[in-house]
Amino acid sequence: MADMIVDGAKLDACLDAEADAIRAKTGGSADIPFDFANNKGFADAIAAIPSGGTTITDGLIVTSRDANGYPLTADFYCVSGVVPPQAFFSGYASGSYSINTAGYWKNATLLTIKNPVTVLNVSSFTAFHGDITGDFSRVAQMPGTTDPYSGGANVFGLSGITEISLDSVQIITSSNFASCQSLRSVYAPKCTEVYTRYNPTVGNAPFGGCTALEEIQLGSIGYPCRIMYATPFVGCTQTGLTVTLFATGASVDSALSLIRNGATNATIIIKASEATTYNGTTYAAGDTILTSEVESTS
Amino acid sequence: MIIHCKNTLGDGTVIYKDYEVEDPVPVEDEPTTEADKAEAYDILMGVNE
Repeated sequence: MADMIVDGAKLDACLDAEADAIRAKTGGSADIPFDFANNKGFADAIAAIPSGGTTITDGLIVTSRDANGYPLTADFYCVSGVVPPQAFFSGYASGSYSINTAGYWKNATLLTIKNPVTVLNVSSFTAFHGDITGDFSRVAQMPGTTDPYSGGANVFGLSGITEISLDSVQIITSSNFASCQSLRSVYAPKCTEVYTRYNPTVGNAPFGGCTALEEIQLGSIGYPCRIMYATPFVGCTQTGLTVTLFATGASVDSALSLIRNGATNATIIIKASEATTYNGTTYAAGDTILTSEVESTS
Repeated sequence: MIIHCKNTLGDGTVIYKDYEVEDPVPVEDEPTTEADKAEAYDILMGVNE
């Protein structure tokens, strides 16, 4: 076999580069032996590099950013299931009721919560610019007291959330979703009470100013939902909204009146949460008791 | 404002009923007074009075 002529300096430089790359991955600083005798080179050192990284169980990963470095999308891990107060609060601190257009999340389009949420807190997502997706099925109650004069708590208000399933929530209070202008769908089958302050506004009604809302279900069979004190739908004057409420016959008229007071163009469907009677007719659980549609206004 | 509604019951009965409702509340504009700003901040922060 003919002798092979090798540029020794260049070969050293290449091997140094490989060894440096391995040390950069491992964090080591020692020399790495080149196993020439066994035709392995740096193979053993490369094989020893651990694969992947630490599994994240608690924290935030920004998954995309805009040209200026502001986050567009992010994944939020909270193995405890608890979203802290103001975790993603993005409102102004100066007292203006509007989304912060100068904050870190100002251009965010999507926050994905990777673990099932069990507890929401005051202002957890208030004014967060983007959509919020996650498993909220284990949340038992929305924050906020039920006091008719001062109750409630902003949780998602002014955020960009588009839909939410609150499979376990029993009580919804004032301000919880106030001015969620991208919110299209709400499902709360075990909700038995919706509390709204007296003289509500779009800023403090539970679904005040949710002008994109298309469908909402409150209650289900076995879970009659009562509307307390005032309309939860202040400013929800859009057409195309269907409000479905499960109730007993005794509460149909008051619920319908309160809902209509805010959802002035909605189709309102009231279904029987249990065997019940309304206007002299007996309805089985699940039956539609009444469908209300707007004919005109004056 | 009076809303004239057609309420169709599950048994087929149709009842026409009027609901007198408050005029729609416009989406809140930027608060101007300090008191309004303070209230708006409380609303935003979900503070119970």
